[in-house]
Amino acid sequence: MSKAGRFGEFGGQYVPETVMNAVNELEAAYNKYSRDPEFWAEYRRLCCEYAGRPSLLYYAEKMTKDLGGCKIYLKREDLNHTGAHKINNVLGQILLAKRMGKKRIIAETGAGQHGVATATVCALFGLECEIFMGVEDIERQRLNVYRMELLGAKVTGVESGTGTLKDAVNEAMRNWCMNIDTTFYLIGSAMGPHPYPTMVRDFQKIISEEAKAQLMEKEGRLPDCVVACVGGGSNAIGAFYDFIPDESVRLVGAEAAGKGVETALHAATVAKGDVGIFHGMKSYFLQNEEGQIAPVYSISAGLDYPGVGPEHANLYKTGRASYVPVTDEEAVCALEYLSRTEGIIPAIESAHAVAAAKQLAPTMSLDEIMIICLSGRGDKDMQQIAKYRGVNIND
Amino acid sequence: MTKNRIDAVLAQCRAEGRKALIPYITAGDGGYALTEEIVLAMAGSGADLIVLGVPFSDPIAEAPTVQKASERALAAGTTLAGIFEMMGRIREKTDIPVLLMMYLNTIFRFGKERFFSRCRECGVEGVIVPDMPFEEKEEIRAEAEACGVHSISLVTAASAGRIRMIAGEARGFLYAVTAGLEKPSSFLEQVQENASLPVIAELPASDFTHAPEQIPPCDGILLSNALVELIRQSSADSPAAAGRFVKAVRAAMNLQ
Repeated sequence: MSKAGRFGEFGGQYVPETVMNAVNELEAAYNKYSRDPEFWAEYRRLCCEYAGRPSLLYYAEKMTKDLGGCKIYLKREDLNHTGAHKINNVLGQILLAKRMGKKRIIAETGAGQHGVATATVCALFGLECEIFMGVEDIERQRLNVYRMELLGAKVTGVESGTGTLKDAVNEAMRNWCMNIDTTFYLIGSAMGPHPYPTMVRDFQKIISEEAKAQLMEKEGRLPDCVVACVGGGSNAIGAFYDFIPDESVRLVGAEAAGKGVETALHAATVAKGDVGIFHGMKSYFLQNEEGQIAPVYSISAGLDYPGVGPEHANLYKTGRASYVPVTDEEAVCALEYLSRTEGIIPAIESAHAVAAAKQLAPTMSLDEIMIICLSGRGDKDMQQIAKYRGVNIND
Repeated sequence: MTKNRIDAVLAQCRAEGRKALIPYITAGDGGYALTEEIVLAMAGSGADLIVLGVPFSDPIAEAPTVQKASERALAAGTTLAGIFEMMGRIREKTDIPVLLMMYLNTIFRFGKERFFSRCRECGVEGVIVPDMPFEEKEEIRAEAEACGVHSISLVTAASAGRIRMIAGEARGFLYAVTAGLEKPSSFLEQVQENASLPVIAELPASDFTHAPEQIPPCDGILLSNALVELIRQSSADSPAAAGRFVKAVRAAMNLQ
């Protein structure tokens, strides 16, 4: 990193003056507690005893044989409490919020997984919780809205813009500006102003630390390839991070190509985006020639975001990681494939990583090893997948 | 480098012992022709400086009134290039200093050097960029100064401990955001104590048009939401309505 909060040219703190003191206060608190062994001990204890870590590293033998290429392991973040990797970050940030004396937590959510994880941990710690969610996403993810409300959170619909994740971030930032003294903004992805991208990565890097140790135990060596889906990029940076210095390990991000990158309906930020400044960071964004942020589309509400975290932008620019677009159709087929092959129903987000892995694995040799980060489970997506396949499960 | 006329106008206001009046409207809300007419009407009704909002897809620092105006302007096809062309036409009719309030990505994407050269050519003498705090001001500083354009700094009620630092490197004036403050006086006094530059406060006109003695301490007033809403409601008549509104506020301020 070139300086605090920068990953090469990317990152920074491009936020309104209203939140600068809060951002600085957060940075100071994070610098303090991230050096405190007691903080990490509490984080690890909660990760184990509440969230169910370490998550399994599962050898997908049938998939391996079926694809006929490298040996495939699944890092089972879908087995965490609340069903996704999101809880790793939420536990870390809530422990920080508690130490900072904040009583009210706000968060944005797309698919609802981060919202559910936030509402869950707020319930555990008795904190007030408000989740901002685009009205379009509320429609797509009714089950998660109900879960959040059941957990005691207030879910506020955001109608502005396209009514999706970026608009939920806009509204959460506005709300933070107006309630800066009392409120902790719990960003769910490795994005936003410094220190969020670094802090969220530090709370998610447990994925790659565990996976490395688990594979070392099973195979006595490093993997050759790690594949993860990328929206803002929190599960991917978590799955990549501990392998970044290991140059033999290929890092592959799968981004949402919606109806195809040649159409207007996609969220393939790295493939089709340009460098810009938005949501507190310099990174790649889907935007028009005037710098207006583009409306994005994906079947997956969790990948439906026009930007990508700054550390990914730098991994791409420096060539350390590559990013491949995966369409809705490829992702749905991959979801069905993993369900029938391994008896594991992945989240539609994670299915993008499975689809990219299905393409890659046959091109790799039998003695090579791939890890796929299975970031979440698919229960939340059943209604939408059924609809996509023309099956009515409502009545 | 020619002297920036924002400084000259604010110095004159100070010399005359009066507060500057600075209306804000969203450029292209209702079309370029209407914006042009409104600017001319306000310039002829007692405005000292004018701030034009450049519409953005995701105005994270704006209240709903201005968010909606931004959406309308974008739907009407407003672009930065179009705003610069409109500024060229405005410059044939008035020399009132104009600032653009806009998000950093719009400048970055247009090209920083190209953007500030266009500002100089079209008579834009300042920019207010709400998503560029003190810590990131170097992003555009060199390019802005090379073209004699002021990048205006913002301070808010949440700027405790930062005002002196921000004021120390500010240009033109300090823009004090008072949104959400019931009694902005103590905040504004604190800003004035820490700044030698003029302090311009964003205030709702309804607070003082009927009670001019309640204008809090500041060197000028920026009017935004009420004016933007008035323009929306009066559509084709908005140049005359905006002119009357600015004149009424000016009169109330003169009574102080």
